[in-house]
Amino acid sequence: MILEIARQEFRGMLREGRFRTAALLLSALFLLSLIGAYDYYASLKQQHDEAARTMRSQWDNQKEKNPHSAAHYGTFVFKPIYPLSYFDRGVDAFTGNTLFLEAHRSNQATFRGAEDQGEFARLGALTPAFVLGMLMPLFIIVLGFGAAAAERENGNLRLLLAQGVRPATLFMGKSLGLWAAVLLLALPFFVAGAVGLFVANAGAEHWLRYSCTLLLYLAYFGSFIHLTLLISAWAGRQNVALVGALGVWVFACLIVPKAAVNMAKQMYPAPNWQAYHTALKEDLENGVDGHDSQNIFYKKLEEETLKKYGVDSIQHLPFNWWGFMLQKGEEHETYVFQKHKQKLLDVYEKQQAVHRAAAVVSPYMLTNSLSQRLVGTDVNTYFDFLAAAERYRIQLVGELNADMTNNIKFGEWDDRGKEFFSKNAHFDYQPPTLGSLLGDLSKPAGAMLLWLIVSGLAAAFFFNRLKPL
Amino acid sequence: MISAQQLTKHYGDKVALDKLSLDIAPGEIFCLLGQNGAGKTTTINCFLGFVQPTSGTARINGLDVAAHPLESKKHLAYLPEVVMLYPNLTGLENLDYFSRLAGFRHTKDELHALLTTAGLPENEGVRRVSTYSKGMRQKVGIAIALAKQAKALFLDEPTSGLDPKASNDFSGLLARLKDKKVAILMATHDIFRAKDVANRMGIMKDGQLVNVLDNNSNTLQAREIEELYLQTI
Repeated sequence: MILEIARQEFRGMLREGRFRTAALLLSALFLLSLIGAYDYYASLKQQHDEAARTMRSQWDNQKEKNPHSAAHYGTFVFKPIYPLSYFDRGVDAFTGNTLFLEAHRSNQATFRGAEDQGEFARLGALTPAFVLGMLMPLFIIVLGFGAAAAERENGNLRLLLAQGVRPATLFMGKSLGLWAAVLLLALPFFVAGAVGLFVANAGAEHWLRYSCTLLLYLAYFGSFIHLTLLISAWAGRQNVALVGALGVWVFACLIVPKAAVNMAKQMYPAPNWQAYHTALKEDLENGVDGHDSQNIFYKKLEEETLKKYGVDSIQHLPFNWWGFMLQKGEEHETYVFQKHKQKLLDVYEKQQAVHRAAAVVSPYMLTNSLSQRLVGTDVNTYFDFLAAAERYRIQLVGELNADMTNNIKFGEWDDRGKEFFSKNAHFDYQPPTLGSLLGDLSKPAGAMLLWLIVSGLAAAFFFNRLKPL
Repeated sequence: MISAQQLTKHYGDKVALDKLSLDIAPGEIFCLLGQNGAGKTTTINCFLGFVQPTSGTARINGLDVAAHPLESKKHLAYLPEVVMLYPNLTGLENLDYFSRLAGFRHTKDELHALLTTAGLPENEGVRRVSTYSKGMRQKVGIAIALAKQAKALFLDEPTSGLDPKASNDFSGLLARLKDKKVAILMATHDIFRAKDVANRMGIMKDGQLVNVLDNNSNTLQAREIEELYLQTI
């Protein structure tokens, strides 16, 4: 009997102008988002691959120079573009994917994007995630708000119940009918995504992530189907049901995300750019500067080192004093940068904790954050990339300074060429695997599942309470 | 077949039904007359399980409706005052759908025959209900009720949308159902139609069944009934 109701519901919908208009509109937006996403992904991927190759070859083939000069010359590293990033650009749009690495400083201007997580501005991008997360619920509401209310108002409910239909059966039939309409639109889109993955020759990791993303969105659609039916049965009148369902949409998709971001910023404000840099500069000056022999910390270290090696001048040290000091300066700078960045990261983590707590009341926020995490465009993946890039910077600069310290005589500025530079460490960033994220993902995924189940039970409850007019 | 004992329904202070008792045997037609708000529809709602009586019981085929909401539905068919149906489906599809919900799968020929019996002109069954008049929708509703082959039939103002000819046909239909031993409870404003088909007529006022007239001997005149009705209310 559930199937009979679902079939009738779906058949009725297909013959309705409302469905056709909404479906046409949504399909067009789906298509546009896919084209835009493909364009974004393909061009960015190509640019990145090319740039990454060019950068390394520039490093390898740079003009002959002293290793520390090469450290100043610097290089660029790139956050890998996931095949799935077409789905949801996440914070990439704000942070960019490119980072300049050089001696003496850990670049961090690109942190700014984290503060903007979930901002209204993001509504602008027509990504598949936007169409699925924001527009699909509207589609469900438009089709489903009358499911119980219209039947009640036009008197069909009396006839249905008199025929011996259980209210719970009616609920299940109606939700199945809505599912058919949702899948009719979403499935081709999901298949298109799979074809894209296939063409991109994606590995098992990405297929797994894609499957999880699809399951996530199915749970999300299911929650909205349940919520729409719940409100329809609770309201019992079409106009009230429509306003109520739209209200839930506005709350979950607009108000909660915006409020969460504002609240997080208020509770845990990030230091402004100026304050951050003033504090940084102060700490930097409070330690060794490898380039400044007049610096008191430099002099102090010089005395200690001479004493330790029992020599009276730096010329007689068993290693190149300048290279040694450059590395000491580097270590101090790295320490200071890391200390301040960690403070910033702690603030961001606290802000994110507020976002996570707020997300519990919004299936949209839950889905949005999980989806970004799954496709690797979330803020945590970005931080992971930054940390890896910093580790690489420390290693590379360390290699260069070590060469100067150990292999170049004090007072000389030997140059190095391709033979040396091409042997320097490579940046080979591996994003965290899905397996390593399971702990982080389980809570929001569990919350999502709870939404699906609880909204379903609540909807069935309100269908049971439905009284014919 | 249809039986109410001391059926009472209160809405707060308001008494919608006051100790209503009636018994309708198989093959009997009972017409409920009365003003709007006299309790006719509340009575039917109690039998359909849409309204929980404050006290008393409503039984269909011996089953207490309140205790067996689904089981009792198997024995009854119902024709609401306004039959809306699904405008995007044809009359035939509507009939098929509602029959399936009641557990019946009729062949296309059977469905057509049911619509014809209900008085829907041939070839109209394949058109969408959105093009139907109120009377045509009512006839599909009648076909839905017939398709269930129930032993108890509840009719709420069944002739309100019908033209005189269709109304007359409907009387003939009720007579045939009566011969098939269907018990029928019909709420109506149409005294003349009631006199035409009913075995007994009950006049309701303020939730009470004030007067029950025996129409079996067919000695009552419509004028007399009308006078009695006007006096009662």
